[in-house]
Amino acid sequence: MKSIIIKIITIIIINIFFLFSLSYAGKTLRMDDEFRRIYNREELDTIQSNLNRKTSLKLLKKRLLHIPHVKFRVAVFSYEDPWGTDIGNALATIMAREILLNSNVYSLGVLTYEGNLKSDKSFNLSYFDKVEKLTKDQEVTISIWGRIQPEGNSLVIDTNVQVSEYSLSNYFSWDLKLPKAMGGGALQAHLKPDRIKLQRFKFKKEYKSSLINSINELNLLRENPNKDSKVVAKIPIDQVYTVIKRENNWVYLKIENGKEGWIISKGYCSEVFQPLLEPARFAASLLEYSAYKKISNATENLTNEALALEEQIKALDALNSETQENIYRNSIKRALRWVGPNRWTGIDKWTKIDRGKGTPPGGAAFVNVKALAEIAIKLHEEYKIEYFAMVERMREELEYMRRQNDRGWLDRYDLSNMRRKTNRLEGAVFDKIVLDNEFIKKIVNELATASLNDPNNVDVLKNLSILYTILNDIGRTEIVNMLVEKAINDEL
Amino acid sequence: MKKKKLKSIKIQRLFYLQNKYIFYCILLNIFLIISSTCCPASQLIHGKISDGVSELPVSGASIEIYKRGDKLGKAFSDIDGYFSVSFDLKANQKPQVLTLTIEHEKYAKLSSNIQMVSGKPDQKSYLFSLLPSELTTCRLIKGPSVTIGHFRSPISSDYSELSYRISDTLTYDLLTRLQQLHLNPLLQPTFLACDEANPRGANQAKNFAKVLNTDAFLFGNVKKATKGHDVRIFVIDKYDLFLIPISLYNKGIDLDDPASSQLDSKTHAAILTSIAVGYERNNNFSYCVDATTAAENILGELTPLLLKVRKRCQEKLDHNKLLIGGN
Repeated sequence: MKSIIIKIITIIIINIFFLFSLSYAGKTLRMDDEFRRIYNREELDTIQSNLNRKTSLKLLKKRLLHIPHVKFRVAVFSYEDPWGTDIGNALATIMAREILLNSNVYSLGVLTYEGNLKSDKSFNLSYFDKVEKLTKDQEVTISIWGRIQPEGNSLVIDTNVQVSEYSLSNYFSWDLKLPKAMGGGALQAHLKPDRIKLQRFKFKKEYKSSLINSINELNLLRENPNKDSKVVAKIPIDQVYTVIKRENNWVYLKIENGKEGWIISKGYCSEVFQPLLEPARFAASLLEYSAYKKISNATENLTNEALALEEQIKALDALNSETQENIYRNSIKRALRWVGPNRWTGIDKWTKIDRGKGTPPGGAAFVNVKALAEIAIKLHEEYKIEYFAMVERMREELEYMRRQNDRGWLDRYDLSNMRRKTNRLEGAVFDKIVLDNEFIKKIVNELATASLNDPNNVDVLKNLSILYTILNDIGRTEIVNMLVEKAINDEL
Repeated sequence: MKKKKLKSIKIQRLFYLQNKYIFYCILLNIFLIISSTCCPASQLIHGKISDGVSELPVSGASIEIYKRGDKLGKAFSDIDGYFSVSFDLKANQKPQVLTLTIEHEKYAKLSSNIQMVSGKPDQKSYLFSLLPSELTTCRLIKGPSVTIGHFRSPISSDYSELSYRISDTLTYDLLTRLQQLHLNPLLQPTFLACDEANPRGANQAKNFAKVLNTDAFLFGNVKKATKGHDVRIFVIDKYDLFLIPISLYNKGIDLDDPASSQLDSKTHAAILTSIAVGYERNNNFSYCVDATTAAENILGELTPLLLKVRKRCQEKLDHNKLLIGGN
């Protein structure tokens, strides 16, 4: 009887897990309505702070996420279309569907915003700043937006991506723990740049109608999974739609209003527009990193900012590697592709992306990566020295004990005591390490020089603060703490 | 005995007279002090008013002086633009601030503070430049700005909306570059179209930049070319960074296509250099460095001028104090 109950409970738990973790959903919103909602919410927050707890809880219930039951969220905005090409919403739809239907992330929600990102009288923020404000309370991982610019007989499409503050602190931050003897602090790095231009794609105006036709197909729900099947519904604005099942290149969707049907998930875009999907795939790759710590390579049609982002993530991931060689190969060598006298310039031999020259994307971020990697390697070196010294001491002790045992003097208590001592010493070896002051000064000067070119890089400034404290340099610690505060305030 | 008595009387009288003299002296001094601080004294403020664009004198402008909302005096500028306002003001050793307003039907109202030190204006003569009223909407009260003026076109065609197109394109192209560096929205530049701003020469263009209080002022001309149009763009700033307007060519542009407003990277860099200098003048050195970085990203490298501006701003950063064994 007991085992049957356990089995039933397990099945229920598994079902709940699948219901909540393997869900894919989408929703299209109007930007103007969102503004009103945000402002009303801000008003509510002000009132809330002046009310008692009971009322606060009531108000908190109103603070619902648009798609609450998913782990990751992406926001896609209508592409800016100042010259009225009429493909702004279509491009947003294509990006949103590509991410929702073809990314490998479990539990994903895609919010599509329709409207304009240029500042207007009612809202004095624009572009990247406006996107950030609109998505701030939706726990969005990344946002995608862009712009259409006619150029002669062609249309130029810019696609931008920005990593939200929420995901910067939850998924795209790394730290390097220092030994207790050095204060036990942690040096930090966050993904930078977090606002990038992913792609500039150009295509002939004559293909515009074929693009619109392909995209229209993405909004239609059909009775059966084939293009000739009857259209049963159109995906409406402001309603959540959820992926129910998949079959070959088709996906079965259910809309909040109860309507259901099949939608094409692959092969809807002609060959000409395949490169246009690459930003969506790169964005999906960033999502996959958030979920599984796995990032794909930037491809030929993307910008050097995308390449920098990919290499920075890989370099920072390798910081906590087991071996010095791995850190050197994956962190330092990657950082040196972007900084220093041998910075790689021109066309990249693998991706064919132009790496550019001068200050790399992210400013001082790669100098920070290099500094952290050098410290990690030095800590490994020191650990090895300390560890071998410890092993040597232990060997001598063991030898002594072996001799004692030969004489029959050693008992079980002595052996377990020895084992405990070994474990304790191993743990303490790292915390005993103190790096040479001259080495730290060299790192500090590299970071300080880099901060002159990127004065508001908070990671660099915070790391400098920790390193000056280790050097017992009170004067510079005070200056750098003041600069951290200023940099944070300047961004607001 | 009598002689002795007479002598003592004389001495007493002398003392009496001496005391009386000291007493009157003190009284006189008190009177002088009181009169200098309490009683109103007549003051004059002189100056000249000119047109901010043409630099020609403005006659018939009404000048008024106020102290905390109370009108103290009024005058009109003469045919050469000169004026002198007479008013009574209690002399005060402490510095005082008066408000001077200038009004003229053809110009935007101007208001300026006048510092009174020891009861006198801090300058012998004041110079005021008035903004023609048709340009009123082209000037922002605060924050960095870039103004796109008129583009002259061949007589047969009219491209008056070109400045609006360019301002739209610049807003996206440059603002997003600066936003990538997380510049505070309040300190981001505004790109304003002002087709009414139509300079007749280099000097006038500089005047436009100054009177419109804009970091960079753009204007130009359009010429028919064998293929499309050649658009010549001039960029000038209000800081005397460019002594004469920088001239940049954008060749073969199809202006009949309403979307043709893309400017080349050199134009972008020139504008960002002016914005960087604007941040420098406002003691915002970190943003100055950021603006040069944005320009570097667009151009692929730093021009000698950009490098100079960046170095100047870097030297003023507190970050220099962080270098061990450095500055």
